Amino acid sequence: MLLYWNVFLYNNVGFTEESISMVKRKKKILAVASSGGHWIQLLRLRSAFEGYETVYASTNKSNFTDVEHFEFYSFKDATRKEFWNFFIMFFQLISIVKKVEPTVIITTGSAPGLMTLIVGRLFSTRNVWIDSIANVERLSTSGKIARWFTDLYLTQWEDLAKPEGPYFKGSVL
Amino acid sequence: MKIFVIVGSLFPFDRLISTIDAWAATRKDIEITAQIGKSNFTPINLKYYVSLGAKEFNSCFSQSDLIISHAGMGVILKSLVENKPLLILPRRLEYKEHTTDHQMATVNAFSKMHYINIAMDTDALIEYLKEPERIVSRHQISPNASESLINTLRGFIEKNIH
Repeated sequence: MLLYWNVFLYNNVGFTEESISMVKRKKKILAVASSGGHWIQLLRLRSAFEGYETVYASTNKSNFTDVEHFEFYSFKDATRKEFWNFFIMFFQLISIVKKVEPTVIITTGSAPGLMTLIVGRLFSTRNVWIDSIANVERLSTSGKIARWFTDLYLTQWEDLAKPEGPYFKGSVL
Repeated sequence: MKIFVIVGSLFPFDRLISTIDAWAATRKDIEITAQIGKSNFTPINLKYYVSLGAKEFNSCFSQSDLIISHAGMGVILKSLVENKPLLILPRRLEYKEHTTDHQMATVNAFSKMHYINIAMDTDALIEYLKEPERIVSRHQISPNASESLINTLRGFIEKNIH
């Protein structure tokens, strides 16, 4: 497994041509969320991305209609219980992050969002987690893990904010 | 009158679909469309789809006079932006309608703000449906997140992308 992992990474980042393009790359934002409520929340942040090259990714192909003038990727959805789908999603996300080469990754939550931040860490991205506004009384499970993979760690409810994070800086409302 | 019933795509919500279906038999004058997701109950009195593409979903949403839904954040936000009358029946953990009881927490938070119409159980839902025309939109929001959240993100992006 570990061997396969190394080969995969080598094949994808090891080439000189790629390395050159890494140096010259444009600075990008990758905005990612699973389909449904998380995606709708992500769309409400769009004005923060204005003026920056922004790429979107979600778990439903038809979501591209919401971001027609932007680069868009879809990937397989998986919940924590579906191990194999999770595995497929992980490798799809590696290929997306590899291709987009974002500087900043922003997600409004759920397991796919967390996974993207973890993958981003392998490529030294700067990460933002905004826990879904649906989590009123406690952070989501993904949100608790996300603490270790974020540079800006936010909740949308003041009552859930803590001095060490997550911080409350407003909501999508 | 047109009504759009929405339950999301992850889990069944038979309690909502079957209640609406039974009620629909008494109100043939109302055009009801439902997106039933993984629900096991098969409606007989209303037009239904297992899932709708984004385009079809959006068009059905904007053409409807009333949205009846589980407490999904996507539907709540979309209704508030479009100033659409919305009636919510939250999913309950005790009926195994979701993996946690967070939809109860969601409706409790929104009921404090008086933003939406909430039926805590099917009896309350049926009570609301005695006069569906009188269910109104209670609040409208802009298409953007709060200014403080946008500014925080903007600051983070500017600091990291030169």
